[in-house]
Amino acid sequence: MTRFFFLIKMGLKNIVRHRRTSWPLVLSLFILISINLGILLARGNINLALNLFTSHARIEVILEKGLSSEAVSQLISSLKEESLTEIRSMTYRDETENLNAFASQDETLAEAVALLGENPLPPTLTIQCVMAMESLPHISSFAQNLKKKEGVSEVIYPGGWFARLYQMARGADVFFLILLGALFLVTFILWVSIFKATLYPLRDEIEIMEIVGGTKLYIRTPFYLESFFYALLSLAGALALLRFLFDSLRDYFPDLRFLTTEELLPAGVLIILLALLGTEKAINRFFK
Amino acid sequence: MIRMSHLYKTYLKTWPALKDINVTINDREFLFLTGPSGAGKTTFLKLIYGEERPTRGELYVLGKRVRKMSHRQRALLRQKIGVVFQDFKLILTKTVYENMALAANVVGLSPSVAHKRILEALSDLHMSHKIKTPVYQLSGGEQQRTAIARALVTSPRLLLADEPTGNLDPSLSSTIMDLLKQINAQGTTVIMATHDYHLVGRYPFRTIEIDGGRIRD
Ligand SMILES: Nc1ncnc2c1ncn2[C@@H]1O[C@H](COP(=O)(O)OP(=O)(O)OP(=O)(O)O)[C@@H](O)[C@H]1O
Ligand SMILES: [Mg+2]
Repeated sequence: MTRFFFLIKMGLKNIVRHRRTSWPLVLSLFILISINLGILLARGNINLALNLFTSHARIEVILEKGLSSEAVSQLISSLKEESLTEIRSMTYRDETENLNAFASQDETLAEAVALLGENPLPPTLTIQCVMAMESLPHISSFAQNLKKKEGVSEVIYPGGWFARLYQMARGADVFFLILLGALFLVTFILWVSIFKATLYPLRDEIEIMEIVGGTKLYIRTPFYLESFFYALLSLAGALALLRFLFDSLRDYFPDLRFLTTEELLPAGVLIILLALLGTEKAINRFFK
Repeated sequence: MIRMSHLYKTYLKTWPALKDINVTINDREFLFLTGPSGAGKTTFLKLIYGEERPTRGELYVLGKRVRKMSHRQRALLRQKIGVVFQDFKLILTKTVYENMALAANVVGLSPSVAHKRILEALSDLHMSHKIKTPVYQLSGGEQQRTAIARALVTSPRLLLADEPTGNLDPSLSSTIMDLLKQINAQGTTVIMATHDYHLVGRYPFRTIEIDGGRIRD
């Protein structure tokens, strides 16, 4: 235990001692971590925007003209029987309501409508639904069935469009993941080489610790501690920067969401793990 | 304590630095290792504390076979050996105290025991006034005494001293010799390499002379 405390003290002293050589390490790590976390943030918000967007999807069902109200309520109850969880609500509007809604958009339209002898609009049923990626097939088949129902003349369903949107989003996601992976790799390689450079002036120190009988673990401990501190420092710096950028962006996009704990925790752990592993790799070079 | 049989050490596959060494060093012995510069004295010591591995032959140190030691086993062996290096091997940016505290901590001494021993060793070597001085600010002789103090602070069973008086004036030299003698009397085996034949002649200890990598009788 006393050995361990001594090593902690030594690690802390080393941090102070190496402050001149360690700042490029911290700075480059800070930049890389900022980019990493920035990508993570962008990815999270794209998904958020997508969810927001797709949870307000609509299926417009155009009904046959002159459909009786019994037929309409029969249709609605038959749809309700299918009890699709994605459906949030259904709104029925008859011919007159549709015409009024149409006329109320604009004064000239209102005048035009007044000139019409007969209402050309059909009654409609609007189905609000959540179009999450996984529910797309359900809704698709639901819409197909809808077309075959009695009293339905047309179904306007943006399924293909959503499918394409999801494809794009998934492509972006994969791209982001690859980018993240590549950046983490770069971070690791950079960390190893900079740490090696930081350790180079300390090779005598390492040799001496080795020669007075220090085991590998013993010698590494203060350096682990040091790099843990640097990683933490860079991480904190990157988070502060990101938070600042985020707050200024939020003035324009109030719906932006910051990194969640589920995103932040693994990323933080990974970065610290990376730092320790990099330290290990760098320091192994100096053992005889 | 140490046994070497038909031991060879060849650097760079050329001329062997040590040839066919057969020596047994007993527990509590005080041994001088003499010979001209380049004879192989430092190499002899390096083999004992495991900085170099024998090219051929057998070597046992403190009952352990040195040849196939793992990094960890070697570290544990080194913790039982105090070494005064010819080139001191001190951490220049750290203070005298920190250098010694590191060695004490490696072998697992508690800070209070370490502190006491460091003060004792430094006072024995007339170095107490430099305790907080970084090593790079010390003179050659002061560095040498720090190196000796560091080797003693762990109370090793075996002390290897490579030219421990090389940078010291005659009066300090005899202080060091008295100290080494005293440590030896307390039970530590001491092997001291030197090319100071006058100094060797003044003490009654066994002397091994190496020349051109061979032991001369
Ligand atoms: N690392 C090395 N690589 C190659 N040759 C070496 C190495 N170390 C020592 N030698 C050679 O081995 C021989 C013995 O060297 P060693 O250092 O053991 O001599 P020494 O007796 O300690 O000399 P000195 O009294 O000058 O310290 C020398 O010829 C030296 O050049
Ligand atoms: Mg020598």
